[in-house]
Amino acid sequence: MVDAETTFLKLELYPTWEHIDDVRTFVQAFCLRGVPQRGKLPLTPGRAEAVSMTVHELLQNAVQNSCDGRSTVTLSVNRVTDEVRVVVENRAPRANLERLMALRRVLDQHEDDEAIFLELMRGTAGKPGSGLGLGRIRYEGKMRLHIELIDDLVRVSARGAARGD
Amino acid sequence: MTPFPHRPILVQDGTAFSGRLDEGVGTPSVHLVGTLSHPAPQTVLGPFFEQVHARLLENTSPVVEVDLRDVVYMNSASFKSLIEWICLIQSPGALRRYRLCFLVDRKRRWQPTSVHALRCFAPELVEMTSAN
Repeated sequence: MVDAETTFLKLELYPTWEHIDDVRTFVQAFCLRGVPQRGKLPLTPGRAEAVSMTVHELLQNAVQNSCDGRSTVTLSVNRVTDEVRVVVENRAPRANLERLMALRRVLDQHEDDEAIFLELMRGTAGKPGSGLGLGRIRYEGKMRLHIELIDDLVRVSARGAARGD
Repeated sequence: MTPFPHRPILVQDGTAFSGRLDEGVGTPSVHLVGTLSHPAPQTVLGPFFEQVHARLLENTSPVVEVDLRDVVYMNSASFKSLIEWICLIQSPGALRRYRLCFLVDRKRRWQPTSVHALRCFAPELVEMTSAN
């Protein structure tokens, strides 16, 4: 059986904070450029912007929480479902994983992306960190999130439509 | 007597980003330019919005224009700074309340979406005008 999902981009990097916006800009340009013979890129401009925002927010989390500075970013498109998937992986210390688990519980409680983002907005003022990134990916990027913790490996997958606004 | 015009309030983060408050004739205007991706925007944007807020409390205009059209990208930590500005306006100790009218560029899709969230957060304080 042929895999319906094609990986178009895989980056392994040790990014500084300043690199993150370079990666965002690159990913947006990459998503807008077609790949001959492969068919499922380019994305529509709105989705390319959503995907690049997703990469930016996830990579910021990875850089802030990584224990070895290394992150990987993978971008795939499923030609059957016409969905794009972003996966960011990094290794993180235990304390950071517990914060992520707490955030995952909040996200899992809500179906409504706008409601969850508003709840996160109401809770963020005056606290360290914003805690808004994952909520923004859901609300603004219209992406579904899946967070896996395998020992100290954090794998965050964001999946959403490849077409549309 | 014409009041002595205030100097603009400025903020700059290297070449990546700048912002300024202008109070000429008419509506005061905050113009933000560039990419807001600072790792700790509370050290850059936070003091800027606090100064802007303090100045606007002295102003009588019921609304301030916040021009985002030249902002290429804003990370969620910087977005939080806008939330905290709104919280300053909402705080019980504020001498007066003014509204924020955001100017957005719909070609940058994050702008109307993010400002819509701010409108839901504080509908009595946030307005949005589209440039195109």
